[in-house]
Amino acid sequence: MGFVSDALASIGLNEFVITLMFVNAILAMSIYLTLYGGMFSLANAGFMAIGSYVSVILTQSHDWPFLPAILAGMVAAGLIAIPIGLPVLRLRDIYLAIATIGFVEITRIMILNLDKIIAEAYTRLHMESEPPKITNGPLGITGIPVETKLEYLVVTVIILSYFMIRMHRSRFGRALAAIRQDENVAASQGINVVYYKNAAFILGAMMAGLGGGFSGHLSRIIQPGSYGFGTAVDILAYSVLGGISSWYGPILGGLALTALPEVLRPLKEYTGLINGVVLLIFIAYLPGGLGDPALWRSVRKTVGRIINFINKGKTADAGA
Amino acid sequence: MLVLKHISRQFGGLMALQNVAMHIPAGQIVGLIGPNGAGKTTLINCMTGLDHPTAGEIEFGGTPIQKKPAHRIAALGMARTYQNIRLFGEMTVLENLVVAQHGLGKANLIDSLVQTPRHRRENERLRENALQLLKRFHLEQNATVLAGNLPYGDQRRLEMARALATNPKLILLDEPTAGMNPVETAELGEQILRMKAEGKTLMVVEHDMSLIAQVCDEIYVLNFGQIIAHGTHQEIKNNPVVVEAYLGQEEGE
Amino acid sequence: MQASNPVLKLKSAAITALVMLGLALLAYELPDILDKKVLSPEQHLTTVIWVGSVYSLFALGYALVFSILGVLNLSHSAVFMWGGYIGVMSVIRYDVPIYYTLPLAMLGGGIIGVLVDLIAFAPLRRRNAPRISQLISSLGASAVLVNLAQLEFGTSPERFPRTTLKELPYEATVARPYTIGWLGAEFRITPLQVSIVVIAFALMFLLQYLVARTKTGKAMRVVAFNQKVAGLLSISVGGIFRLTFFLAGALAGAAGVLYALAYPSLTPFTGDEMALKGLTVIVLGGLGSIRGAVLGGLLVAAFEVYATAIGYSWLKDALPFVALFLILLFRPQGLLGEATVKRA
Repeated sequence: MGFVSDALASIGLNEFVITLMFVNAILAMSIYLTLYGGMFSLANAGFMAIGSYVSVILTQSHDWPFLPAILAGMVAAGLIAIPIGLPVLRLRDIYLAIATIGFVEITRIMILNLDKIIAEAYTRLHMESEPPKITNGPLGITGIPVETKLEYLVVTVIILSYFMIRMHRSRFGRALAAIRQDENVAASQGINVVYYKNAAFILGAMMAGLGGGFSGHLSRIIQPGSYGFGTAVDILAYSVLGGISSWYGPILGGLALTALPEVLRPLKEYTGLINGVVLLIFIAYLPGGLGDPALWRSVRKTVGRIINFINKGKTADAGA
Repeated sequence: MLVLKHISRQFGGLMALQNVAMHIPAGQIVGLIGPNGAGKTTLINCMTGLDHPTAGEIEFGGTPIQKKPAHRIAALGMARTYQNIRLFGEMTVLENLVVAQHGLGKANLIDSLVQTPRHRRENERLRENALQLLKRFHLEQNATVLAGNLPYGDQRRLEMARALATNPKLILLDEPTAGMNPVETAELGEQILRMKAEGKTLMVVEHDMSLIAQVCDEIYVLNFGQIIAHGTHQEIKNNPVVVEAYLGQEEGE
Repeated sequence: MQASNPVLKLKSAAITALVMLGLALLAYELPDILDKKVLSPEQHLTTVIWVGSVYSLFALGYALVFSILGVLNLSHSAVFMWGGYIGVMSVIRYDVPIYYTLPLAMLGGGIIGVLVDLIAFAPLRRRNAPRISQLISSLGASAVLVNLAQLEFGTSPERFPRTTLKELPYEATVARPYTIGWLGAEFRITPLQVSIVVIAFALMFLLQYLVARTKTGKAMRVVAFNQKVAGLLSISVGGIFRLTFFLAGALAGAAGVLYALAYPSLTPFTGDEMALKGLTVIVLGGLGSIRGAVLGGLLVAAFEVYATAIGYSWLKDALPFVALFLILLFRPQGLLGEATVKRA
């Protein structure tokens, strides 16, 4: 193990980076669930923020142990998803995307200004006591215990993978797939479209909340600025790069896109550019993403051909 | 079985359906004919809950359904096919029929996560039903083909099988012969009569008359959103109003 | 089909609750507002108009591309930012007279717009990719443009040099507003702000004229209506697409220069901030509507200005998104759009 981690660290993948890779894999899986049901929702950055802040506030100010705290963050994200999903999921593609971006930004701005709002309410209501500081505005919460460990994340990813595999073969998963392909026909076959869409949305929100809880306890500080439009786009990019033709695609995407800038550290200046170019290339020429079974078949074929070629060369050498 | 009272559907200023009254008796095959744009598909959509009438009542087996969502109506025992085929193209033929039986299953997500016996038995049962339907519609050799890759005639048959998979009381067929040759149309007629013999009620929406003449007990004629005639095939055939509606259509084309 | 009764009841209950809440808040705040005289409507109105005109001009590019191609081009904000940089840097680096920066940025923005189409949209159109893929692709293009700007110009804010601004006639700097009395009200506005409004509205009228009155505009509308029909009428669909992206890019370039004139703080991330405003603007007005974009721009500016004026500066950022959210839920076709949006 020591040897492996040294080798990984030598290409820029130290333990922190690997931990971050797995956190992002969880976030990528969270958006997969809604995409699988045909919903183009970018709301997960907002649910991530909720999970992150709720769990951090619980461990930081209320001395909760880590595990119950991140589970509480997950539940909080799921609960908020209910009133959001019911109205929003009636919208489709671009409209849904914009509405969920709106939700993400409102969440960020609310977290940013929560203390201000409370203080304002205190003065208006003529309350004597000092208003509490909860989110600490733009500066964010600091001095958070670093509790997120790689082992927890690997276990979580395994559990979520099991969930995904089972989900695909379940009545639930089949209903979602049907809704993705034709919502009206699905309804005529007796599938309660509203129910399943919302269920997938809530489950995705809980996964994002869980990922947020982990990411909140990853470095010592969280700030509202890390949960805006940009994060929503990042999460989307993981799942696009990985591809949504398979459940493991988003995991691969989350891992790869997080690792890429670190591996390319010598080109650090260009990482943002490279990320953009990678996204462009994948969406244009490899729309199935990294997890596309067809991609792997053709890779295997190409590798096989190269090996054949080398072998032939060798036998030719040996012959000569 | 299905009773429509004074059904109207208005889109903005356009009256797509106006005061439509129909009665589909249990165990019978009712035909609905009319020229293109007469409002046939709008009417089916209103019956199945994909659209809702702006006025009027629909009763299905005694239950008012004009405001119910589509999945509830499906659960009450109504199924349909589509004029332009709408299969789940990214699923295999077998999967299409398994997902179609959604309402017959009960397993939830937790059942499948912990692999309860209920989940396993149910999956087995749904698969078994699906395989039987495949056999009935001569699709068994295509079970693992993606529905989107099936030849046209097979897609039409799969749609029928999918409608039947929910074990419905009433089946609405929206132009089932579109794009079919006479041999296939005749075979389709047999399938429809077989369903009737099994006790199903059917409504067949058609543009041309040969299938209607073969299977229907009674016929409604829709034009410009209104029922202009109702009767047996013989009565309809000689009704001057109907003849004019159809002739007008053909001259227009 | 989702319009079943419980949902409708929930919806009307939600609307009622929101309206009540708003009225209660207003009633509670009103004495305060009147007392402090924080609201001087005519002054804020001028601010709304000149800020709103930049927003409208910028958002028009989204609306134009959406109305012709039916896709949302999220790299538009990056083209806007590049337009600003082309204007500012041509003055700083090459001493270009400030009057030439506007046409220069429009040309540059237009060319970048066409490049974005070639790289991010054309390959996807060719294989008939879903609209969502095109949206993601435009995000990739946006990332590339923002990062290129970062590499080229750095991240510290840039501005038009003060000396060049002083060359403008009538001492056009923001610092010295003129006070104009009219109908008993006092409007304080700088010549620069006036020229921003004039240029923005002139360009918007020009676009409206182009689309509504010219032969090219007719061709654009045919393409928007049905590409196959356009092909039959031997309209070059690809050419119309490129023209659309050029026009949208040129508008973004112009808006970029006007923005850089108004605010002395252009960074590679300026576009990202504007992107969200732009989206709000076109959603408020109706996604593909040109007139809607103009109205939306003024509305968003009004939200911002008045939220700040009544002492809720934090509301300034949230209010446009709340409006966006509510509009999408209750009137997804926008304020001026037609009710053709499919909502299931």
